[in-house]
Amino acid sequence: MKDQSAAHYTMSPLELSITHISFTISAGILTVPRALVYILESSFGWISVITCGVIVCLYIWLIFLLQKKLGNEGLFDYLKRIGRLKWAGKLFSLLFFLYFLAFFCIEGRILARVVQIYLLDQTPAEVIFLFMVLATTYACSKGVEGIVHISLMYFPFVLSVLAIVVLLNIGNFQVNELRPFVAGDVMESFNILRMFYFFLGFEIFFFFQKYVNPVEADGRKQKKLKPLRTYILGVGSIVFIYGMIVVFSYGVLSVEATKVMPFPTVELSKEVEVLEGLIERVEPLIIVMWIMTIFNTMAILHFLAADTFHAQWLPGKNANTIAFTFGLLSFMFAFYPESLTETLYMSEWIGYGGWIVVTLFLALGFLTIRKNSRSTRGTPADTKPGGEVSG
Amino acid sequence: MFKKLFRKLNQDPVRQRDEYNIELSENIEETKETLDKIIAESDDVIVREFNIARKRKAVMYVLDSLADMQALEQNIIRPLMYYREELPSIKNEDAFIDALLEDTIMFNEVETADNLDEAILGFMSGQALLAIDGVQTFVIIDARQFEQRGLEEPPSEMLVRGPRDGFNEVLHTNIGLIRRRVRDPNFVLQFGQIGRRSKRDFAIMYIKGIADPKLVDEVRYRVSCIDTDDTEESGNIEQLIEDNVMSPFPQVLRSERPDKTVSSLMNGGVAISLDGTPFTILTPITLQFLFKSPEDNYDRWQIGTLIRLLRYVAAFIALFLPAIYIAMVSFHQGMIPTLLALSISGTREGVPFPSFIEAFAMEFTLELLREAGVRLPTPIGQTIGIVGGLVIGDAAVRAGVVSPIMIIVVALTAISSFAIPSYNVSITFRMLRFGLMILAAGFGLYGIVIGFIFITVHLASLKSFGNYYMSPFAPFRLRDWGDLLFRAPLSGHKKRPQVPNTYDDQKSNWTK
Repeated sequence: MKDQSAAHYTMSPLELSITHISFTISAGILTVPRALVYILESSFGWISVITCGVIVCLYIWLIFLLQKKLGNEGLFDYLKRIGRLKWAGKLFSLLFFLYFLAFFCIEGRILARVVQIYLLDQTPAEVIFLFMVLATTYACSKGVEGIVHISLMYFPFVLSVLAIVVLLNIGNFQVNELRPFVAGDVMESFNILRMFYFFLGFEIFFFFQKYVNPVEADGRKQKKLKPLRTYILGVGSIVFIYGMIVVFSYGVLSVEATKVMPFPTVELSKEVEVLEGLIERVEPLIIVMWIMTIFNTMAILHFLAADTFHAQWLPGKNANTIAFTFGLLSFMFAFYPESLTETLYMSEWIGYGGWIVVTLFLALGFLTIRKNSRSTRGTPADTKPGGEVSG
Repeated sequence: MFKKLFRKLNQDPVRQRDEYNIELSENIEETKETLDKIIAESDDVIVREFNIARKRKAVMYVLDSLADMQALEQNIIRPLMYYREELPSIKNEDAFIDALLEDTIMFNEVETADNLDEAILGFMSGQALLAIDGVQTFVIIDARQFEQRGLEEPPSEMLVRGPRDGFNEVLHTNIGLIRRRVRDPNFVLQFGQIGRRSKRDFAIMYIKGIADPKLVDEVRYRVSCIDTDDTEESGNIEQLIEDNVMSPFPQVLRSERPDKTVSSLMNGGVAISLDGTPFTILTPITLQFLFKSPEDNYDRWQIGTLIRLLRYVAAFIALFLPAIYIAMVSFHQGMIPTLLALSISGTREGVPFPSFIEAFAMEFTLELLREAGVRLPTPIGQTIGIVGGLVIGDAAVRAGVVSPIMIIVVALTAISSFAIPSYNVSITFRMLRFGLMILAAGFGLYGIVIGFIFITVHLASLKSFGNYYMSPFAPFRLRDWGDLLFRAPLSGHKKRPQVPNTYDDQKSNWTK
């Protein structure tokens, strides 16, 4: 009862799914329509959005299968426990640390730029970034439960922002902008390689799935929840949200205009008119709520990086020190790219990097766990008591 | 942490000091000498010497201020003095005491004690101590009588619809008020004494079979860890048992209302009541409890829902409005509709201060007025309100020191903070408001969002007796949403809330 550590913490599949959604939709939501136009040179973006969703589902299914073998242990915990795989745990925690750090810097850079454009034109970007790093470092000190609870609290804000942008723009929507529906570049839209990094975020399942427990804290069994279905529905919502934003920015702003705007989604909110005379411009409010979602993503990145690194490399040290170091590093790296365009360009490469790391980690998980279960089956005498988890 | 503290405090030699392990002497004069030294130094201790049946010497010690002297005179001293039968031999002490207790003393609460240590606490709380020559046992007679206030409507929790009785300062009266409402034999009440020197009575109350035993143990444990001279008010207990001392948010609920206390017990809570204060502590709570008033359930659900939504809006205004005003006027003028912007800038024309100084000064004045109004007697308090609110406000605007729109903002904020049912959380909001105003002055809306993020991160991990403070928002508890922003019809409340955890979930059954 007094214990604040994560050892007793459990969450429901729904909570994990919501965390996943808020983790994925962050900086991406502002730039997704423009990125698609560049890739496809037409309005067929929504098909590749769906294709990406299907691939994410596949990944989640694989991670889910992996977790089933691991029981209530994360893959990192497993690697750490098995002596000869310790190096892999250390290596991948470092890779994830770097990937999350890079991701964090880019999100922070985009945030600083957006706040500068739309809210505070006089304040230096460094100050804006610094405030956000302070906030995420504070969030890290609250542990897994703090991070997950923040996602749950902010999720209604994310939804309301999107609902405002979409619903109040229905009047401005022009179907003609989306035409032609069938064209030669349908096949082109299946080329999701440059689109996929918007969907990165499912790696959270590697870290948080071990907390998902079908048994409630008071010992009573929850009603039979179907975790995988909840996760897939979560991916469905991401696809739906991205799809809506893409379709609406093409329909309202037109494809040509979307191409030249830095943040089409914000421009979309500019089109909104709320009860003329009540609020002159809605987009600062939209930005405000969007800051919360991007904080959410950055806090998760910050926490995952610091926590994993702490567990694998320096388990004896204070985790907050590592979180603080992460913040310092991010401050140094975030302003390395010269401009926002460069930042966005780098974000693609970081996206590929992250994709590769996640895939390799998944493969490693499948390889090692199968091997281990086979070897234990061979010589049951070697198994340590209480150590092995049923596969 | 508590365990360590508990051990440390119990090793302290100072705990031994308040023990009076004094055996009684057979000789009444010796006993009297000892007792005079220990307890009869104060002038309100009445030392009454008399002879039992005109033969044996006896002495009675009693505190004049706490005991019913007339009843003692009538029912103890008189029968003992006029005892006509032959007294049993002094050698047979037990038989002698029995004869006294069973045949002569006419009182419903009488007991015996072998040493002073057992007797002293009762004596200090108003019981009479009777020592008899040749007997090594005290007779303790409970003739306590306190002055007490009537049952008035609690001024901090007024209701339009609802019972008009509130707790007073006497623990037994308060328990009576709760007992009258709960006739379940599972209602458990445990007394204890708190305070090394004050030895105040307190009671822990819960309903067995509803409250989680782990929670009850935790409450008992935390209260038992308190080792201090005196807990003057239940607020002291509150601060000593809460989870996070650094948090500005109240982590237990306080109430002067028996109906609110009972409703908390029925939902699996544990109540702590302290003698000497009308405020009962209710644990555990979550943030949403602070926005609830018993009245929400007394009126029909549409009214309850509407009022509750109003309170959440009020909380938002109380926390953010001045900060948003500052941010809008100093940074985001573009957000304000053109006509309104023109009128604001028109009224701000000639105001010599930036909006932050203006807002800060007015908020500060308001807090000052509020504090002054609380301290003064009611009629003067109202005068202060009129002088402060109307005269100063009007004069400030006329003099061009502040703009009229600022007065509107400040007034709206003040009214909103009064609309929150829990006084302590409205003070929390007042404190946080100043922080948000500073952030807004520096960074506009971005500053406000950062402030909001810090508050929510703090709340996300805050716990009250093991329950997450932000439940049912996070962790998400669907069942509790029926009594949150929206108050579902009572027939929809079939189960108890999920927080606090309860043993018996079923609250009502409408299908049968």
